[in-house]
Amino acid sequence: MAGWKSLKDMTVLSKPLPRLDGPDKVAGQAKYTHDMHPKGLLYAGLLVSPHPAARVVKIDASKVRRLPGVKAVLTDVHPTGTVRYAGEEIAAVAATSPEVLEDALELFEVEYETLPFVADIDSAMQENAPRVFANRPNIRDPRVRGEGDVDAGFARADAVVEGEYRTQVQTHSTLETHGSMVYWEGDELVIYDSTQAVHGVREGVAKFLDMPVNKVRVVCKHMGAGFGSKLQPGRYTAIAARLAKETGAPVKLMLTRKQDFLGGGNRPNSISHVKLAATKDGKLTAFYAKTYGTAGIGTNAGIRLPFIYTIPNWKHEHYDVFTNAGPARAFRAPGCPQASFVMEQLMDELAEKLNMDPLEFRLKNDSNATRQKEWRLGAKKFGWQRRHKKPGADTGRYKRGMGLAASIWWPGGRGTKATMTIYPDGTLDVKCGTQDIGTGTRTYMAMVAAEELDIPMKRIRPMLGDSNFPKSGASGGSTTTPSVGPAIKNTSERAKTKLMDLAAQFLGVPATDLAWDSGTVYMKTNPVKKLTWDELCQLLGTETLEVHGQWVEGLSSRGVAGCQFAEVTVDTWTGQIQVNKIVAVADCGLILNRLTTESQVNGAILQGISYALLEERHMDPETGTMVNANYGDYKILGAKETPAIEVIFYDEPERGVIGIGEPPTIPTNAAIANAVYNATGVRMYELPMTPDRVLTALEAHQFAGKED
Amino acid sequence: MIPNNFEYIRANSVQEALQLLSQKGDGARLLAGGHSLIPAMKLRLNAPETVIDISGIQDLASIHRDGGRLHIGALVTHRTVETSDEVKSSCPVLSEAAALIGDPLVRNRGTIGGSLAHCDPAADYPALTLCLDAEIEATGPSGSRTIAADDFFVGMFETALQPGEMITRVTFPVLTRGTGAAYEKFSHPASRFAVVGVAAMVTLDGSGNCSSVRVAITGAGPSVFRATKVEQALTGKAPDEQAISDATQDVADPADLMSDISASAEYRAHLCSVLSRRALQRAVQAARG
Amino acid sequence: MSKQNSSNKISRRSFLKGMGSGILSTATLTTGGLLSKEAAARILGPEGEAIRGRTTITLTVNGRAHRLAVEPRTTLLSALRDRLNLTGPKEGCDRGHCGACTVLMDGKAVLACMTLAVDARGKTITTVEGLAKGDELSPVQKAFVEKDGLMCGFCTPGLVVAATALLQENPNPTLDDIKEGLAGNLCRCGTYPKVFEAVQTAAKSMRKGG
Repeated sequence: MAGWKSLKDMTVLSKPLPRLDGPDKVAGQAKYTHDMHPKGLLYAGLLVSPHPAARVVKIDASKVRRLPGVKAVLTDVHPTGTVRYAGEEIAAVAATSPEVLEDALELFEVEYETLPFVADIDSAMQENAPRVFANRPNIRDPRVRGEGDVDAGFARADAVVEGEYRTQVQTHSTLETHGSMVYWEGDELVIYDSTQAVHGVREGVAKFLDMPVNKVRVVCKHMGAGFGSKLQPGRYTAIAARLAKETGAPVKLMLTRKQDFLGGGNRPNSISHVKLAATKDGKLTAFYAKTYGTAGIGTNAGIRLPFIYTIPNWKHEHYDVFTNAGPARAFRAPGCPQASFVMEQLMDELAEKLNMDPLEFRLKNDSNATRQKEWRLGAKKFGWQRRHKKPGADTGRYKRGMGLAASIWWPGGRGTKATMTIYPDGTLDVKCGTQDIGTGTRTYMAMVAAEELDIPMKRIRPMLGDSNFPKSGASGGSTTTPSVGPAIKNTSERAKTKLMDLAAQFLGVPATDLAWDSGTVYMKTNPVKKLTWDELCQLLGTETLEVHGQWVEGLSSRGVAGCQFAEVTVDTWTGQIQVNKIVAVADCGLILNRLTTESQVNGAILQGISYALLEERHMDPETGTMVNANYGDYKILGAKETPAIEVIFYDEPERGVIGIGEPPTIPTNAAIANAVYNATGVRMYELPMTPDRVLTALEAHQFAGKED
Repeated sequence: MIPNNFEYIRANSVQEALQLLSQKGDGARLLAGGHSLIPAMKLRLNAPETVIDISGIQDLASIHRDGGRLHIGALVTHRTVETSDEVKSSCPVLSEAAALIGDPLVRNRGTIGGSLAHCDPAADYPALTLCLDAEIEATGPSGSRTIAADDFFVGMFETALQPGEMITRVTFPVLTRGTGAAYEKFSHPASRFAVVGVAAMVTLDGSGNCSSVRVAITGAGPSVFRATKVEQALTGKAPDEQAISDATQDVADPADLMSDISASAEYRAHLCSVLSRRALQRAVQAARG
Repeated sequence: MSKQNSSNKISRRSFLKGMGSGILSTATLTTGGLLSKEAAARILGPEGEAIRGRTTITLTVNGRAHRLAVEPRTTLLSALRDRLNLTGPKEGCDRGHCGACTVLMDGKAVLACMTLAVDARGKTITTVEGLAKGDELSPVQKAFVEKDGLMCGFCTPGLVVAATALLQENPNPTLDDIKEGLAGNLCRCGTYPKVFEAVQTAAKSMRKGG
């Protein structure tokens, strides 16, 4: 199979093209799961536990059942009857209108036996703390990784820095909450789901309901974002399916905004006790980290230390800690923004101790060849040399500073299948059981086919978001584009081969005598003998041509580097941090669509700023529930907090397609934190860097200064 | 989130609204812009039996100046206060402050009367009203009465309005040469309510000293309050940088302030000082014209 | 709005005269003053009379009058989405925080989730579905597509409507004006930089187009 064309030969791919579903989305015509409204639709909702830990003694739904308009009630939706976080499903109702549903949910009478709980990681780690799971301690056995001899590494170092860093729990907060609209067609279940994985949900729901997989169909044409929170099948989907079965009607069950905050997933927090050492010529010698993180009642609260740097001797012990809170889910570059916050600040501290420029120090310890070039490129574009050599150099109320940090990512492409159907009139469908989570998948599917076949985009109908289409993986881990891109190219190539065979037959020459150019097949020795695309397709007569293809090696790569530079202004009167500018260098391999790729990088950076400055889940120690489970108290970044962003693509088309959704969200928080230090001379050890935390740190610093 | 069921009635005049209020009694609530009442009803924190929609009463939606007084009808939206030429010239600080309320979507619907009657401890208008020594006109079954701002704000979500009364207009002084006012606000990043908001009004005498100073603070405590210490410290003095800075060192005691997830009482106290200083500096500038 | 109304008065009056019952144009319900009291009562339902429980009302949305059954507690958003199947306005938070439900009411951008359906009687509602003329997208919509001012697209209808209102009030906004104008609309994908570009582009094309 051939590789990608060279950039200069491409006429469609790698250009900045508007997304194909744009017109539908701006006109309000794109239908999301939440918008599905078939005739006879019932509105379903969940009753969730207000208690963080309790046994459900009794659920009395008699008043609910008597309410006119209530069509079905389920009181057995919780698998064990023991709830471990506030927000777990206890019961469900389907009703004829949103109003009846709301009234019905108020009429449940539930008797709980409340149990002791731990609302946050600090209380969970105390001795004699109540256990989240009766038979397991809250602090799990550690995962230990490392290499070399850490003690020896520290012994031969000239400078050592150490400290404790903390990051917060962040919620995904997708604008469309989790949910499904389902109905039955005989014994077959059709699910419209707001999901990142139509095939995964199909398999999961089949298992939940003990059904054959081929009797479940999952559809997701448009979805209101996921960021990792919608990779798995939801219990709500199975509940909706049961309600639909019982009533014989279509049922829609969307989580409320509050329920989504409580149980829809989150990024675990982290507490890191860390130590890093280097020789005086700036070579890292040793790193040690002991870290804790809570994924609520879930696991995998790890932090990817020691991040990007090459350290001969290192050891990392990580402990997951259970708390009575909603389970974490994969969240855009899991474990990585936490790691950059810790490691990139440690690197800056160590550089300062060694009297070295942070950039220079990084160049000495970063073994990634791509990033070596990116650091230099970014520094130049950003104007790194303008940075204050001495931290806190500005006088007066407002202080400016600059910082930098790196990014990294690992996965690449993987098995994905696709089908192409070519019609005699020259149009074609490209089908793939992937999903477009807002990244422009649909658009580049058409672009790849258009590029390979040399035909206009408008002839191509890209189809995705349906488990009846050939299998593709979940849209997660930045794997979608390196998986789907090559699969569509492979399918297009096979289609080309089949069409060439048809042409050969028609022209009565061996296919090897034919060539393909600009959507036309011609004889190499006699180019006048040719068939245009339309003529080729007409050869199909009344048939269609159905071609299957799949992901193949050689068109995509693993591994992403990248770096970012931040400039901030700190208001020393109020502690407010304003991000003035972010410059991001992103290596992208072969970019399929420059416009939508740039959007993704922008979005990753903005989520990074939001994580750095604004977002934090607050658990009430008294009630064990989240106190800011709404957008009025839990701030996600808005238009007013959006700074100037400059995205620099570091093209490496020879690497083929790589993913880009996650890596650019990793370094932003650390670049900002380092810039805040450069502005003020005060280091922030905790996220988010809210004004009161900054002010407290500034005051402590000032006070310490006076004592000197 | 859907409210409990209720009965909805549109009132076309103040008279009609008052009649309905007295008929329906305690179970009735007035609906103006709805941006305070509807969220509370959706959360079922507030479950009125009757909602009297007064948003269509045109008489309450006008702004007019009458000599030295600026009358703003209770149903004038934040957006109108923000953009009104009359307000901009008569009492510019009000336009400035209105522009800081919520976001454009909120400002298009929220009303000055609704905001004052709801009396959220973090709302902006209470600080402006108190600082500018405004008068609130309350109309009830037995007619209208005027309540001085100093008497109007009783506590958290609590005002001097009597059952059966409604706010019909708010009267502000027209700021003339020698008097200046400013509003400084530290917004909650998400809700845009005031974490702390400070309104200051300064009148200078012929020799440039402060003949009167009023400073009102919202967001910081359970209810809006005047920073009397600051007012006293500056009254009769020349308001130079140093004097303002000295007067605003300890504006509020953290013990009297609120602490929540968005800010500690200590941080709020700090903001009271910082924002008072800025507000006073700008008010003095404005007074000097 | 008042300016617009007075300038359109005559054409609206003459339009009304020639109109049979049935379909009502956008114009008919914008101002109560144009209608006789009886006509208003017929269209709007009796003023001052209590509405309890399920009631049929008329809403003027995207230039058409719709009859629909609501309760007093039904929000405009639910009326549009669940009754009229106009699902362009989205429910993101249901508490007036995210702006995904933004619609135009008498020309102003408002939160449909914070407005009662019964309160929208007699007012002109425009949803994102009503901005295009047939298949021809509005300049704001076109610019959002061209500049990629959207990703997942769930917040997009709200942003498009808010941007439309912003440009109606301020045809030549600065970047800060745009940020303030869109401050009530949350986008979790982080499309803002491209949205700012789109609004600037739309402003330019609208100024050119007169």
